[in-house]
Amino acid sequence: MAAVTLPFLALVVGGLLQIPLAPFASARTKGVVATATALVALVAALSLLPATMRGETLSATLVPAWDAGLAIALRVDGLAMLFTVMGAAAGAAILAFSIDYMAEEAEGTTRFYLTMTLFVAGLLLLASAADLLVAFLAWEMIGLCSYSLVGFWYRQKAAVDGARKVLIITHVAGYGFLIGLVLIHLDTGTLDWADPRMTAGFGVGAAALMIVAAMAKSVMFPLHSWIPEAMNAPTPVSALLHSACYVKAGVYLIARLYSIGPWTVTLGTPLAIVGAVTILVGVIFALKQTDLKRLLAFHTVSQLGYIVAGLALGTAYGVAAGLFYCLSHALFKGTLFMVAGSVQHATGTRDLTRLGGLAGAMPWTARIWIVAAAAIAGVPLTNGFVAKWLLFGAALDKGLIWLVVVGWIGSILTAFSFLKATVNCFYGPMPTELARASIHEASPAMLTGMGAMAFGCIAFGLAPQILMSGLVTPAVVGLGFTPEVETSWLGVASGRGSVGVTVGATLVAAAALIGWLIHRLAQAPARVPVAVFTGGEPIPVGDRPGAVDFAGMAEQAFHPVYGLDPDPLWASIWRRTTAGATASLGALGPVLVDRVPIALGVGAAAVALLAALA
Amino acid sequence: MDLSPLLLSLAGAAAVALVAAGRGETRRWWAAAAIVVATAAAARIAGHSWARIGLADVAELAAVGLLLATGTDAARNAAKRWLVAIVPAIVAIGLGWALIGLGHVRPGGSLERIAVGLFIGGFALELALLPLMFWLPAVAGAASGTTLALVAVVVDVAVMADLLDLFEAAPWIFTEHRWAWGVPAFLSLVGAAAWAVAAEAVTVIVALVSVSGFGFLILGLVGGDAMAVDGVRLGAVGHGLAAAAAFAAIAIGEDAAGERISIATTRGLASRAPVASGVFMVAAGALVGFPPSLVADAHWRLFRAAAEIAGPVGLGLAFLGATLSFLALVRVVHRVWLGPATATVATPSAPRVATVALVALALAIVVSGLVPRVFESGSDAARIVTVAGVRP
Repeated sequence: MAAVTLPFLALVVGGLLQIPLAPFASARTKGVVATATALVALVAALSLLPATMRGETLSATLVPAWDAGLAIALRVDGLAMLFTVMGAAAGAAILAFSIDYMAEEAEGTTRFYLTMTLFVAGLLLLASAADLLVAFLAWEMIGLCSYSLVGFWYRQKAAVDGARKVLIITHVAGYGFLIGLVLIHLDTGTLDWADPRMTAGFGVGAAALMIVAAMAKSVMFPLHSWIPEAMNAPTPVSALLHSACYVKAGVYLIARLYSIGPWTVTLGTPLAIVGAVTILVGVIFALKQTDLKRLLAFHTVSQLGYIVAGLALGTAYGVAAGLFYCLSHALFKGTLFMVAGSVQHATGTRDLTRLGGLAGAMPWTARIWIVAAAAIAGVPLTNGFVAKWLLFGAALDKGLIWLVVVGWIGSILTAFSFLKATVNCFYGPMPTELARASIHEASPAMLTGMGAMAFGCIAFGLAPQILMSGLVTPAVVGLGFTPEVETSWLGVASGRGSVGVTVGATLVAAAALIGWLIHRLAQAPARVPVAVFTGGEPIPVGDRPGAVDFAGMAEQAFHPVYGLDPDPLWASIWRRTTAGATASLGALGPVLVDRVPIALGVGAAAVALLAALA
Repeated sequence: MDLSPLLLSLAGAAAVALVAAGRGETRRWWAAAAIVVATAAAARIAGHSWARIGLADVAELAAVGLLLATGTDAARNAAKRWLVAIVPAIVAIGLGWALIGLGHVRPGGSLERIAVGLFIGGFALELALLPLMFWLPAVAGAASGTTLALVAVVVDVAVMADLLDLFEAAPWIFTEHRWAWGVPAFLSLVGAAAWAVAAEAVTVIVALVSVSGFGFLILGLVGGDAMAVDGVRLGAVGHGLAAAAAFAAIAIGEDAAGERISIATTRGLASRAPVASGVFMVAAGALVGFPPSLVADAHWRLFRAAAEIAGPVGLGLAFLGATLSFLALVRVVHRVWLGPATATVATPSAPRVATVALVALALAIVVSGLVPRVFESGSDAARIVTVAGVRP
């Protein structure tokens, strides 16, 4: 067995092992097996890392003869390795978190762990697929796993409604992948990424169709509206869906298109615009949420906008920024979801209006949240800062100041949104009903899972060069670019295009330092409570704006943006489709179905006409 | 002769028989079922000959016996309709074969057009292609789930095998009369799927989605290249298996619900029949081309055929048909099977033998989808040639 196949096979075998374990193993044992499986996959993937860092492409055949003479073959280059490591690492951490989280679940844990491991395996297969047909197989595998997991509690209406929405939006858009694949085969006669014939014949139409498929998976506006509805799943599912395995499938597909043909010239700008709109729409919708998981879901929309905008730039710098952002997002979003799950597990709610003061009862959970929240907001010393730093640098290098402005506004609103969530969840007085309950800290296994990812947020914020040299740069090289930028400690970038950003940031840091010195030297007045200005009537002294106040303020400030919800459009299309189908059945049914002689006569006449014209 | 499709079809029939055994079908039903399976299998083994055509006709007529065995007035009326379709179809296809001398003669001129018309009319009647589907809603509404399952996995697969036989004997009937076949194929692909969206009875919805699938399969024959025809080979068996699993799951679901299941009235059936629910979902996914299934292995080839026949319009229609079928089945899954149950009546669990057979059907769908090469023609022209090379 080739080492290249090991990460995928470990997950498939480990997943299938859940079936014989089902009759006698506890939920906890199943969780341990699934976690061990993901760890084996991670170790196996890391063992391949030195080769991809040297720029090698590793190949292996999984099934020699599969379909139409094609093998199920794997080809691991830098990009495949990046997504493989991300999927296996996030999968291992989230499965570790699941051990305690799912321990009390009465039924369905075999289904849960089997599907979770296959979900991760699907991403690994997609990333390593040597041709489009296997990639499409993996694409659908990921889609089916997510559908099954989102609808895990299949007796609950909200859960199955969410699952249906995920399936419909992503599958219908996913026909873009299938049709793109067909067009490519008709034009080039091949489905192999690395075949020169594909590069020669790869058209913008096929690329655009595949990007539509990717947009739905990666929650780009206006195909994003499935993601908040998918929140009625167990939290580990949300964490995996958002951090690594689902939304990142679309990111992978967009990145992979770089290794095929020069599509970005035509499609890069529209995609960057889509990314920019998605940044703003996602964060503005997040601002008005009072459900913690829905808030995080809309931030996923916004953050994916940053990633796709980076990839759309079409430069080595932009692609590096997008891929670094992709890895960083996996870490902080996985962490945030696991914390949200821990809070729900401990309090029984994720409604911000019913939460508060949890930092005392759940100190480690609160610390972990703060690290991840700082990372998503782009606070220095975290990986989120480095990601935004790189992205803004790449956009400036390309001359797209508007994209920097959009990203900057998005970052401010993200910080504002997480300030709301942090304060309302962890600080202030604890609501009476929570104070009466015995709120407990998350279990060690849960803390380990989310703590490991939060540690990554800090570690790769302090030393981003580990990710850059280990995963991002080989991926950029694998896509045919010459690396243009390097990072060192704290994300200080060097290389093409980074000078302006570094100078700008130095000025900002100097200004902040001078401001702090003036503040200290001018003998600032003692702290006193003040009324909070909310844009309308001030909140009285001593009070604080709650989640509902924030939501109300957001609604007031961004009212026109909330009209950009695409759901009414999709609902209208569905209504018109069913109405049209019903009307056609009503009109033609009496002729073609109800009266046999007429139906036979009409049919015979139609066939005679066809034969005559043939 | 490649017997793998026949063997898979027979295995599917055996699983359906086990479901029927668990449900206690009547003696008349078993007699009709035995004739259907035996004659359909014999027809395949007989090879390209008049004997094959005759045996296949007997299988179709015996399938009407399955419906009559139900014994209800609705079934008798539906059986009459079905016969009104099958008898002319048998005559038309027989005349067609006679005109082309079992494929050895190409008559040319008007006779050729007549032969093409006879084949199109005959097969359209047998497969309920638009505009000749007048019998389908009545039959699908009146027949039991097990009857429909057996028809799907034996009779429908046999009709598709007849079409493949016709293609091999006289490919010009398809490739040189593209639009004569293409119009009913595209019409069925989209129209039947649209009507599936509008229908309420679950058996009728699945039957209409099947007709849409037949439209896809005929496109493969019209496309006519080796890759498209391989798509038909894979799709025909995969489609029969998936439809059979769906109908068998419906049969068990109806036993649990105690009534015919409909998207208008049935809710949360998964709580009462969880295995049937899971199998229906696997089957429904396969019917609309989710992998791993033979229909998925066929789908990309058939989309390709649609593009070759009618370019972007063909691809657009294929997308529309596939999407409508998908939406119709998602509606069934979410309105009938998943979600909270409205009825809290305790229902007896499905017989173990039926449950095992259902699971076997679902596994057959998945496993066969993982080994499509077993069902491919093996022709070099149907293979994608890979070139070792690195992008410059």
